[in-house]
Amino acid sequence: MHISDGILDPKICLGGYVVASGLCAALLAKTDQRSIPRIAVMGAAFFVASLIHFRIGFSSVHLTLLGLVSIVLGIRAPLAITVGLFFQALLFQHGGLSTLGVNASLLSISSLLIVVIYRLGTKMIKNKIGHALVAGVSASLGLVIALAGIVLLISFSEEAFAGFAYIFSFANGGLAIVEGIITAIAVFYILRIKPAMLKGV
Amino acid sequence: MFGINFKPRDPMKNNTSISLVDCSFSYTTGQRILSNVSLDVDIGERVALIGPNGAGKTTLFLLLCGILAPTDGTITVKDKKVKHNQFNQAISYLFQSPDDQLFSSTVIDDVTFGPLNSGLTQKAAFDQAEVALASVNCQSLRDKPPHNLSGGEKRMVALATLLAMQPEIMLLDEPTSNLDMKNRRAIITLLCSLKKTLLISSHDLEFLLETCSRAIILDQGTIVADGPIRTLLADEDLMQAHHMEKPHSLFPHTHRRSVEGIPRDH
Amino acid sequence: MQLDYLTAIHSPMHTWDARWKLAFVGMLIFVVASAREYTNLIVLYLFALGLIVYSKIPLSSYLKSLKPLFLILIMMIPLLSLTSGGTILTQWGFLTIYKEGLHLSGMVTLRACTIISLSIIIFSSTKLPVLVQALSYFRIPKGLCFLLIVTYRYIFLYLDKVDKLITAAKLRGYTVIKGIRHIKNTTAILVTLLVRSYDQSERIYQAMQLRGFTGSFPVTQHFKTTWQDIAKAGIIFACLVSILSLEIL
Repeated sequence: MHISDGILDPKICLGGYVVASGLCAALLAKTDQRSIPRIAVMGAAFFVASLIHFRIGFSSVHLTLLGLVSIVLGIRAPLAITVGLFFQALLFQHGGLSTLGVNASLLSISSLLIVVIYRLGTKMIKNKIGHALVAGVSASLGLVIALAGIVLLISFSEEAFAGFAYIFSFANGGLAIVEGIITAIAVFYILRIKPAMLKGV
Repeated sequence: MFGINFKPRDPMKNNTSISLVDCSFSYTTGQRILSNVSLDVDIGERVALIGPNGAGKTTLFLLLCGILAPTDGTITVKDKKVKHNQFNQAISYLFQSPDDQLFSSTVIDDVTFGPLNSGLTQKAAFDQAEVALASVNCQSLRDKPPHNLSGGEKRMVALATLLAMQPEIMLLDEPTSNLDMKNRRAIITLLCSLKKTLLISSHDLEFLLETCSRAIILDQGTIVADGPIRTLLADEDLMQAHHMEKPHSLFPHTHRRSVEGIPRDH
Repeated sequence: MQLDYLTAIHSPMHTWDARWKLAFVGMLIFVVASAREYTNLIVLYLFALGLIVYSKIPLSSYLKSLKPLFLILIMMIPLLSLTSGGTILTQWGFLTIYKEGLHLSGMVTLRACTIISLSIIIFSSTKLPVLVQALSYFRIPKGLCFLLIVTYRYIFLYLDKVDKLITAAKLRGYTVIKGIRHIKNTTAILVTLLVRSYDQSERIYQAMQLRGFTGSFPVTQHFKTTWQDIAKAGIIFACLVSILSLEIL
């Protein structure tokens, strides 16, 4: 769920880099440097986990795991997300270098929203199933917001892209719901095995 | 308690490297891991720490390093009290899994990590790292990523990362696990050549017999025996009482082999 | 791993100082993203192709990397041509093909191919530790550099781990199960990986502490500019300037 090269106006690409760097710099300044190894190791795990195939309907999909990574790493998730996008570009060689800043910014903002919704939601609900549901809903919402961001930016770059952007977002909208369900199931399992993992880094 | 460490002590000389006095450790959940553990290890001694899984061996190591704090008792390393989260460069710990210990992108980066953190200049750190790599015969692996190394190579490189810091005391957790014969022999040769205080936790009793002079048996969080390793490990009743077996080399009939190589059955 | 093989090739691109490479190929990517004239885009793509040859990257591996882009383009080109609005080229029943859509598709295709080719050049000719050193030279925070190095190291370990987990599951009938059971089992594999990495991250942090890690990251740099580095940068710069002036005129 990210924008590929060649579509966006270069000013938006540069702007994306500025926003993403600002966000990372601000987070790094506020992060105890001793947490960095933990963020790195878990970031690697999430990167690999997002490659696992789920067979949904007729096709095989893999998820962004944006919801899970936001819940587990808390407000530090944008660091892992940015690094993850960098490695997607590096290891899979399918591009994404020019749009790294934009994609990182969009997903990071959604991630922070997911963290807020999840934390607020779980303050009010105390049982395991409730937690899992809140996690699922926040994941889906976060992805929908990211999608909305993608549509806006693509349409802003070039008006003629608007129609294409809307179709793209509907296709991915279904995935947002699927991810929400899987995030809920995953959080339910984690609550049973290692609830401490959901407290953020 | 079987056997006492009966090495005569010279009251004028302080030979003690590690000292635990009445140490206990429990998790915040209340689960007790170690109870009233007391032991002294002299400088240059090589001590085997044996016991069934869950006996508290790894916890003991983590207490000695300062990663965990004892709930009771005191721990002194080289006459300095061990403080929680304050790390003494004189003591280093080889983890059971080398993947926990090799976290950089190349071998040389991993081996220089410790020296660079202790404030050495780049040149001094690299020199120390090259010496450490040479001592484990891994100079050729210098620029390789840890992921491409075999299990044995990873273990040797992990050792190099510790040797580069020139520690005086080394704690080793299962150093021969998952190694083939060749690498196992290399570790034994290396450890026997080191003039350091070693505390080795292992299930590989034959390896311990070759490298250590003293053994401590830990079971359910307490020291149940402490004495010369050959004496302790040869005591079948003692070993079985703590869910272990007497090593084969200590059975009389395996000491002598026939010319054809078939062990005589006496 | 394919990337290991590619970064071990010996070519003038591989020996180019990583800082100059990153800066100048980076600027070239930006110029490609800004280009709006077909002729300029074609020249840029051919230049990038030339750089691919200069980097001795095997054609098969280059084409393999472009494959996913083609899959996206196969979907995007028709969609764009049918939905962009503007001047109608042809109409086929209820399907309308617009001139602007087709034009845009062509631009996007060329830009995407060129940018991806240039990214392939950077990543295939520079080992990650060196790339991170170059980033650190450009004042990327040390914390982020350290994050990149450690994440990279553990990605490969976890790729192996996941392989083993899935193999073990398959031996217990995993692929045969479909539907909700499949989703639950796959999620369980995912969670197992994450929980194990969480525990491992604790131990790795302890290992770092025991080697004196207090929060500062030692990043060593071994760069030295040679006249060849400047010459290579000069060639790229010449291309940049010519295309930019053609765009502006």
